[in-house]
Amino acid sequence: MIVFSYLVVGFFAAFVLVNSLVLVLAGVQVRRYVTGTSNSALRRMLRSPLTPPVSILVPAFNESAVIVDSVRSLLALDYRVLEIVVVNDGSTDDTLQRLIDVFGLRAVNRPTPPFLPHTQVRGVYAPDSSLRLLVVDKENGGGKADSLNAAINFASFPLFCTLDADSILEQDAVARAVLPFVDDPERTVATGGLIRIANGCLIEHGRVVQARLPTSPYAMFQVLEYVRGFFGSRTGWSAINGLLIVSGAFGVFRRDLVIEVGGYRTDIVGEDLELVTRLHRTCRRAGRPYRIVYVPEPICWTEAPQTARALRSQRRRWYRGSIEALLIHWRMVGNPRYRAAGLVALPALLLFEVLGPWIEVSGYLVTLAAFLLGTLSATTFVLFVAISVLYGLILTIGAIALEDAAPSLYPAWAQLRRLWWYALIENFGYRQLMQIWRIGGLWELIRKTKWEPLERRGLSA
Amino acid sequence: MTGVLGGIVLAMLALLVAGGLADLAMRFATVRRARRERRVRPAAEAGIAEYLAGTGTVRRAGTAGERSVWLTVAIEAMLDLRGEERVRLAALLDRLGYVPRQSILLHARRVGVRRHAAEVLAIIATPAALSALTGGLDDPDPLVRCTCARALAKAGGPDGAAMAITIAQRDALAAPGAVAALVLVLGQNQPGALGPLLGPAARPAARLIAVRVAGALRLAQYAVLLRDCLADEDGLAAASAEGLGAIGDIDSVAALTLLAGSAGRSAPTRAAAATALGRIGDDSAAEVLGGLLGSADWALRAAAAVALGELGPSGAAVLRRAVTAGPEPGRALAAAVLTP
Amino acid sequence: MMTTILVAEDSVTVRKLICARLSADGYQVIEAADGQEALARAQDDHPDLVLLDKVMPKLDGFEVVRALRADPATASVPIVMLTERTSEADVLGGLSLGVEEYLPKPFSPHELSARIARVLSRAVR
Repeated sequence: MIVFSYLVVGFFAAFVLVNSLVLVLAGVQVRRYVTGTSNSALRRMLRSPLTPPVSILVPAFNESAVIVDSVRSLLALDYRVLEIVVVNDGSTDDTLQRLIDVFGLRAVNRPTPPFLPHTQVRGVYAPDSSLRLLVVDKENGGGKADSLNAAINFASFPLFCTLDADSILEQDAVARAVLPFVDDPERTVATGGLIRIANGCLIEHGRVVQARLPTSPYAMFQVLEYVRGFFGSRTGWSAINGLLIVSGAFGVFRRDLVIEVGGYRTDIVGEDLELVTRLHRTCRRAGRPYRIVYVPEPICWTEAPQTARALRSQRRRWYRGSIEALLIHWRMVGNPRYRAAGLVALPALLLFEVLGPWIEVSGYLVTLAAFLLGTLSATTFVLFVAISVLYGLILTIGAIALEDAAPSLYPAWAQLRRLWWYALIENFGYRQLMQIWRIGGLWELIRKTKWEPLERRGLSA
Repeated sequence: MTGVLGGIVLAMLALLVAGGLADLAMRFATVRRARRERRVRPAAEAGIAEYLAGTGTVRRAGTAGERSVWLTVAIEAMLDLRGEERVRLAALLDRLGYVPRQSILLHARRVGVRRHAAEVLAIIATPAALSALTGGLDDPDPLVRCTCARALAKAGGPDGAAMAITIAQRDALAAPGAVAALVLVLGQNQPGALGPLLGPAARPAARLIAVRVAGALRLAQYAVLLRDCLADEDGLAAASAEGLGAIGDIDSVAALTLLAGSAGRSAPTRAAAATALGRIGDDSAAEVLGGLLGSADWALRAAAAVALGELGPSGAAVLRRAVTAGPEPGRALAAAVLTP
Repeated sequence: MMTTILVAEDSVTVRKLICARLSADGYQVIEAADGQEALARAQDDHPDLVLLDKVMPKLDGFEVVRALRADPATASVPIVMLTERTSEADVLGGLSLGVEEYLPKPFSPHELSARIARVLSRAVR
């Protein structure tokens, strides 16, 4: 039992060590980004006829409330040539009708391109005006992946940008995320950008007018998780070309390559993680030089779940997604052929994301039991608790430091105090709760593979 | 064992304190920068606007930090301005000593500083700034070299063009984006100088960029050189087909038709040729495009159908025939193009 | 009565410069720093012409155009737009919304003032 406790301490130490290294890499990268990106490069790109046009893909399922505002603000994005492809995934509300009414759409005869598989298309709509908008109405495919595949088929430009129907983009977000493709068109295959939590912010007409920290504790904890995840982790992984996640809420991809690798898988929940892993795999196998870049600036705002229920289901989904991606690509884990992705990023995913919750939770239980049974001295117990609190806190503070190094969004001292306070108290309850909820994702995965293998799509349509 | 645990806790505490201090330092620097910006910016903005409107004069700002805010504001304004006001603002920056300062920074040790200085000098582009930029042409960093060459190519003169071409050849693989920006500026300001990059003697990466630029700028004088590229490897052939379509070069119809119909080439390249034929709009392409409606590749079929739709009566006739009697896979596409 | 022009542009230097230029040309100028302010000032002060930057915080240029055109009080005010983007589709999109004149950035204040004079003379006729 005591040996196990020490194993858990070893795990904490390994976690801090690996993630601190990633944090240092992230620091180098943020610094390079801040000094290396100039406003004039962005302007030059926006004015250059060589800038690649981008298709913005918006999967929509029952988004009647937000879809019109979303499409409007997307049409207003600051970019040279954009088209917007909305896929109505068999909504049961009036999502499609609202789009038709507001943008004056009419049905057009557009054969469905066969590049990627998805459910049956019921109709395609385009406006009479010169607005670059296409609405694809299809049978419900049971998820975002299926809608994205349809949208990729209908997209006509070399790059596409994936979004959630309720994501709010800063006006130059797409331009900044495309910049790596302009700098290095042959090698760049995907870019992801910074995602922020919109809860608490002042939002008008589908755009964030004033950035503020959220008031609800759940959202506040998630702000910290995002700061850690984006500033602390993704920036660092990107520095060694080991970035595994380009979030579905905001990412830019090369269309031809995504079609070549077969698009999004519709039979899993972590389709964004799996696709990027597959891109690594395909490019390395083909021996082609490639880069998957995380840009620490383009800002996409997203609504974080505020209720325990929604948060729990999100965490279960993420956990399940990680396991699924690892099961599909288990051959890559530890394989030197896949360089950083195989040697470091996937093992880290396995150890910290998939096994982590089990190790941590069982560590708490065993240590507590050992203490209660008297085999563990009070001092050791206190030290153990201290380590378990510190290991989370260190990385959070480091990530906040990085965030502060970049042009800051929450610049007042009072807000720093609030971030620090939450960074401290998340270690007493919230973090443990998240680990327990994530473990629930395994249960969901087992249940799914046993009782409902892939057949759901037809039923819910 | 308690000792080991205690050690770990102490190490972690030390890390935490270090992180906290780093955070405080970062936050302090950021807040100070933001305050300075809030303080200096409005005055800089108003000062520059009044100077340009001829109602005020500008004095040199005090501290280095203030000067950097001032420079940022001025550069932002220059990016939006053209004509007389732009020239006057550049002259002002020159007079206030920003050009000599950036000229020194152009030879700084840190590459980020050099890049920034090159960028700023390229925007100011007064004679003094340009002569400083000449010194950056042999910088070890490709981005700095390209920025310098871009500014010189924009300013004109045969020297600038020759230098731009040398640098484009050299850095096309290392910094494709910067070279593209350089070649674009060359094409916009001295289109006659682009020739050496388009010929077979140019390095493939540089040639591809030049072909894209010639197409995007619709430089009709290079149609012959672009046509030669159609026989080259697929990427280059597709880019030149696209360019010829944009130019609308009627003399290339035969070569494009040949490319679109050659089964040995990749489908995207053939599709690019088909699309170009549609944009040029010459009837003689109709038969070959009609044949492509039966191709095994969907994207190629679609490109052929759309191109036929743009050919006018002859294309429409081929499409109508395809709807009733054409090869099965192309029928739906032909019908879709025919519906208004 | 003096001709009033509303200048909505978020870059302060550019805005002040335009205002100085237009004042020198004998127009009365109202300033707005973002889309929302532009809309409010247009509805309150009834300018004779609106000059809009395409990219502004809070409400972008196109949205302002749409809102101005939807309100009967401002439906017919001539609009000139400054924009980063010069692709055909965008210009057409703007024209279909009812933008009289497009001026791509980088722009020359001289040219801007000439175009404004032309739009105003058309509007009078």
